[in-house]
Amino acid sequence: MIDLLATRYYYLVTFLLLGVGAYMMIGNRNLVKKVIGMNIFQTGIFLFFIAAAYLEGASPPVLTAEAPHVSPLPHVLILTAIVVGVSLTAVALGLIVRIYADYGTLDAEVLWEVRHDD
Amino acid sequence: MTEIDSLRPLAAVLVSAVAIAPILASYRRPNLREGWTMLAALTTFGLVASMVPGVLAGDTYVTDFGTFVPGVESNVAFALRVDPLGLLFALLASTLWVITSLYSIGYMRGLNENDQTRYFAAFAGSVSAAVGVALADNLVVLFVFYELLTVATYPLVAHDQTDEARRAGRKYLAYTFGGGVAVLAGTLLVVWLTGTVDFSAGGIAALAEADPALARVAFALLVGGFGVKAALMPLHSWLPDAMVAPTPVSGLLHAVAVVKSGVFGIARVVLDVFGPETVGDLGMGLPLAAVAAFTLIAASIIALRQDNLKRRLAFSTVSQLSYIVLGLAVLHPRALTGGLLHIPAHAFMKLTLFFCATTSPRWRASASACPRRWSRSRLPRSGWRASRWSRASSASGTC
Amino acid sequence: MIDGLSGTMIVLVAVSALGVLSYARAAGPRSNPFYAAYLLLVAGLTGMSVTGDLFNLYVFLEITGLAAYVLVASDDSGRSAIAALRYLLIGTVGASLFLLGIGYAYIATGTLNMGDLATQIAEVGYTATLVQAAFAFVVVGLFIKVAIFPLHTWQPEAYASAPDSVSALISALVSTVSAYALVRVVYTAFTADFLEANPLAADLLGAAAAVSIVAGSLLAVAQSEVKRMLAYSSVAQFGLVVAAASLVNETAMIGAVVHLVGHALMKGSLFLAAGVVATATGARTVSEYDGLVDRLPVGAGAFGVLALAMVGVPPTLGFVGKWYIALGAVESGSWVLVVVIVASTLLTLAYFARLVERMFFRDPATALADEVGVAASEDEAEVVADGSDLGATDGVVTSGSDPATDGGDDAPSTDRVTFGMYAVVVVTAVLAVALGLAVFEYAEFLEPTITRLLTP
Repeated sequence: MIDLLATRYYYLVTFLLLGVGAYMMIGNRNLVKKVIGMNIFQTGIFLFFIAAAYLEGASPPVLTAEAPHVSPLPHVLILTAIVVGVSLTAVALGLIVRIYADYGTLDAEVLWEVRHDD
Repeated sequence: MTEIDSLRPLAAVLVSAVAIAPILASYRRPNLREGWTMLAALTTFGLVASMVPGVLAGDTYVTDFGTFVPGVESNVAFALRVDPLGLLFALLASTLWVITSLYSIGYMRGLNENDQTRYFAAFAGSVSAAVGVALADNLVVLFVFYELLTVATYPLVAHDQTDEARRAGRKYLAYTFGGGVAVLAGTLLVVWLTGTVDFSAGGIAALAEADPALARVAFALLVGGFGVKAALMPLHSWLPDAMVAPTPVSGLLHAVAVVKSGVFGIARVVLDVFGPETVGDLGMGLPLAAVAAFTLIAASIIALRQDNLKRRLAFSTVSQLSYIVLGLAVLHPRALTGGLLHIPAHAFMKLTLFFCATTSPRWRASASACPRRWSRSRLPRSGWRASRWSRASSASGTC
Repeated sequence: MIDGLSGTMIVLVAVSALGVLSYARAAGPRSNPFYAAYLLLVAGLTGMSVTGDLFNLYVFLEITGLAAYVLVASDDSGRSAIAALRYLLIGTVGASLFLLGIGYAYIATGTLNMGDLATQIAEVGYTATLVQAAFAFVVVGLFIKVAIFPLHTWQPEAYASAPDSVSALISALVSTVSAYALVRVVYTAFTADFLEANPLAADLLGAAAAVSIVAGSLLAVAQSEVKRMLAYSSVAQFGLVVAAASLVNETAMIGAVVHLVGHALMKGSLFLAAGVVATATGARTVSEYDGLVDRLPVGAGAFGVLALAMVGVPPTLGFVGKWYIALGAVESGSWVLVVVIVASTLLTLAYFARLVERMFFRDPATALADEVGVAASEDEAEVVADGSDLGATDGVVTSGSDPATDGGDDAPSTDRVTFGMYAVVVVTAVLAVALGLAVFEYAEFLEPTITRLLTP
């Protein structure tokens, strides 16, 4: 078990990041921090993919480099996923700007109460 | 005995449904609106009546639209079929609709009721559904019209728009849709057991060989589901409450079309789905007979104690309906005949009684200003009709 | 990859989007961002429908999501912005879990093509931990997108606070296509054999569905806002679809597709009908619907018909879908699901009946009539064009309204429902009834696809 943890520690980090991200999204009252949590959560998954593609002692997936290469496909996938993540963050921040303009606060619980008073 | 492909069964169902549109459209002109109602009533009656000679000669009229939904082995067709039993019920509903329409017009106008257009539209829809119940060729189509009947009669129950009427309407919906769910579950079970839901005289053969426990469950679900509208105790309590509806509704629907559609459903289940023999073999005849017999007596006793005339009639209906169910449950040919004959017999009697019942409160209402015989509380002012009475008295003025 | 199933989805997306567009033309929001996001949404949904690759599915899922978040917030009110952000956070978690599941599937098999996955997973073994984990993450991720109880929390507020056209579009399509994606992934990538090898997975799907049906309906009964009620109703109805999908049965699967399409049509136009009602009378809560039929006969009538279709009164589309699903459940002998499915009629009735009763059998409250009469223009700005802020009354607010985005200030009367808006609602109401009779032909067309789907 210890051995597994020592050699596969990046998976451990992955799930640590997932946990931290999820906790931030749930536990934090600040909307911006929630969005940061979302980003950390996604980063955890990105790392998961990249770690899966990693091969001990392999070179980067470039034609000029020597074989064996690490698997290039997950890199490509994650590149796309990062783009998606960035646009999501942009939209989220845009919404947050609007919420702040409207309510003057970013505290989720206060906003929730305001909503219920409407 | 030949089968005749004909659009007449369909037309008989559709005429009154189609009539809803012009009835709604001519809401500004009551005379035209009532004209449409009468036209639809007479046309429906004519269509149904035109099939009588053929059916008496042993023919059956069939309208088949092809498959509606799939079954397990064979698909379920959307088909209408006119056989003697169905024709009896269809003829009854359409004949009495003509009479009731005439009565309704006078009643609604005389009492200056609200939402008369909705009333006539819903009435037309109810008759359409009732005829559909009568002419359905299989359990699924029967279920379709059974549910539509619920939907179409709900506006009539809640017609007064008082709290009481709405409560009665809610109760009505809950009971009848609950019954509908039971029918649906029973139908599914029958489909699963036999692969078909088509009615066949003497019952679906495969049901006799099916697992008896499941067959019993299916029977209980179907009879229980139809029993809601047939007001078998303990599923009857919507019916007295539904008497809050205008009298023609109580008369035609809650003494004839709706409640008899429940009885008719039970008849179909006993005669054409399970068949009397299978019902006997499953040992379901006796429990059904026991329930019917209990309802018969208990409802009569309750009726004795009702001060309100329409409620009394309602309990009498509950009781009389059980005669029919009892006739079916005894599983003897003569009892069957007796039970089925009681369908039209009770319909005519109860409809007339209802029509008389409202004439008296109306008369009494006008009489309340100058004391006559009725004001001596043979029908005490039990509140629930009070609003109507006072309205009636204002309509008819002082004497 | 186009087969009968994805073809159905494409047609549904195209037709619903067109219907909503013709409604939105008059009802707004008439902003450029709205139309841009609308097109993006349609593109994303179509992409989700046609793709045969898991990762592409993820990308299209996110594109759809992005467009949906923007659309929800397109009326510039604070309330919808909050709802959209909430939707965004939860939706992203859903999509991320889906991506994580894809990761597991990729590690296990080395492929992401659904057809290829089917064979590869069979080689790896259906009970391999990696495959099971992949399945779990993918399903949970999609459950969030479909809004199955208890992962539905984003959905009611998003539907309720979005502009009416958007609520209709999203309720009709986004969850529907996500549910399609669920079916596609479970049956094309993991195949029916996986469910057979892991009976627990199928059972859990069924259990989640059953809970969703019951809880969604109960929550719907408790709502006072009509659009929230309709939103919770969706939670219950998608429970029905997932229940059907969990059965591994041909009839039930056809039922799932029929119900998907039927629900999309009915729920979409119910939201449009609610929009018509709100536009014409300002009524948005259940109690404001009192006596609606006197004020708005056609709208109330269409709403009533659609509600009954949703309840599953035969012979409407709602009933036929339910019949297929229930028959499938009976065929595969899952009696608990049969009971829940059949009883769902009553549950649905519970929340629609009170609305129907109020619309048709109550006199309109006088207070409301006054309010509508006096505060007509103010009401209008808030309700129709969504130009004014809900938050404007709070005092905390600086300014959020953007007069350029819509016709919020050209709304002088309460009677701005155009013929086109009525036409969409009435036509779908008629379709919801009439299509019930045509389902069997469609089912025959669908059958080869379903057979192939269930027998890998």
